[in-house]
Amino acid sequence: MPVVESPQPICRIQPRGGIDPVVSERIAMVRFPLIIGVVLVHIDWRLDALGNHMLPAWQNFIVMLLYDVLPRSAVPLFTFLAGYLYFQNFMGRMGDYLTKNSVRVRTLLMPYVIWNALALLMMLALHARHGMSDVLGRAFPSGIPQGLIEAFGFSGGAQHSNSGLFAI
Amino acid sequence: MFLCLISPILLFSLRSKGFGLLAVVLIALSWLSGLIVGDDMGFQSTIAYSLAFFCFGGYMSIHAVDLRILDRWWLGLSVTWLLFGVGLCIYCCRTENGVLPPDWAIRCSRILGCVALWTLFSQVRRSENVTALFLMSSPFSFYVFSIHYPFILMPMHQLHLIARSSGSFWVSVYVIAAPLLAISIGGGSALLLRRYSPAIYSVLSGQRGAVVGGRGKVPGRSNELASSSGLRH
Repeated sequence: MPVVESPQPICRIQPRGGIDPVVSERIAMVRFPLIIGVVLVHIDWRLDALGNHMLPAWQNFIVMLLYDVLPRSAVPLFTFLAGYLYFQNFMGRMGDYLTKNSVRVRTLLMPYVIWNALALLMMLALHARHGMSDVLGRAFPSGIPQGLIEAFGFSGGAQHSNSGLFAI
Repeated sequence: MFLCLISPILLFSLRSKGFGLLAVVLIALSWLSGLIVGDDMGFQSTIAYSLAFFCFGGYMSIHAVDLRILDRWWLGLSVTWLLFGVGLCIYCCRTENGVLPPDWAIRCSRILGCVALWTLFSQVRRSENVTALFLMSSPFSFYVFSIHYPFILMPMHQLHLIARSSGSFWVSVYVIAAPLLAISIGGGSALLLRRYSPAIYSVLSGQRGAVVGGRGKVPGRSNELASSSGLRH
């Protein structure tokens, strides 16, 4: 089916050099729906990792489709777009490299470090108050010291991307 | 971040059209087949698929491939993706206790979903209202992503436990309410923080959609990454 798409962006977008303004607008558009996909994937609706559940069969089918199968494409699409945007105007020069990575340190690494620190503080506060609650047990299935190592992937044991801080 | 750090090596590998494509295909195949990277949720697999999709995006960017090239097949791709997903669910639900589909099928569904979703948005874009809504919500994506799991869904897990002990009806209610609550709380807290504490919001959101002096300007970044509505790539 032929696509009749406006050659101009509908809303006023200031694209980065080299990117088609329509593509730039579409990248901005997909971001929030993809985040909804990530949220859906993280909703805890099963009883266990094998997929056992409590829902009637038809509900289980729909929930599996909408919460587990279809939204799994969100993160790969994000990663694809990250690669696409990173290599725009990247000629491999040291200046490009430093500029691009310093921007990402400021806008990705720093917020991630802060979010992880906040999450850790909250969990440790919960631990001090309530002991190894179910919330903490879920974040650190093998206990807090080992869990912290696993959560950041140092032991290669962060086997499930939604099992702890690794998810942030 | 790791992929950004090794970007010169990736650029060197992807610069040649033939060799770059071969490299991307080989990484993708190692992930798809699972021969090298192991099970789907494993750490190695996560690294491999990040590398595959990042490199593929980079390849498209370096060789200036038009990302709208597949738009004309949006309907076929979307229907195929949906049917593939339905097939996976039927496979999973065929026994009472459920079985997991093979990893390669899940991985194929992810690739198909990527392409289908991207082309589907060529059609979504035709509606000005929907486009405006998505563009308006776009700057909050990072904040909602960061807050949703540790601060909303993990505490909400307690509700799941209560729902489970109360019967399947309450599990259904939980399943419907949880994403709505997560998005509302995440988006609402982002709006409130941006309104009442823009400096903190700016730090937590990596300056996405940050407001400085009430003028909707992102400090020092407007030329490179920000749009008039605070959109950033």
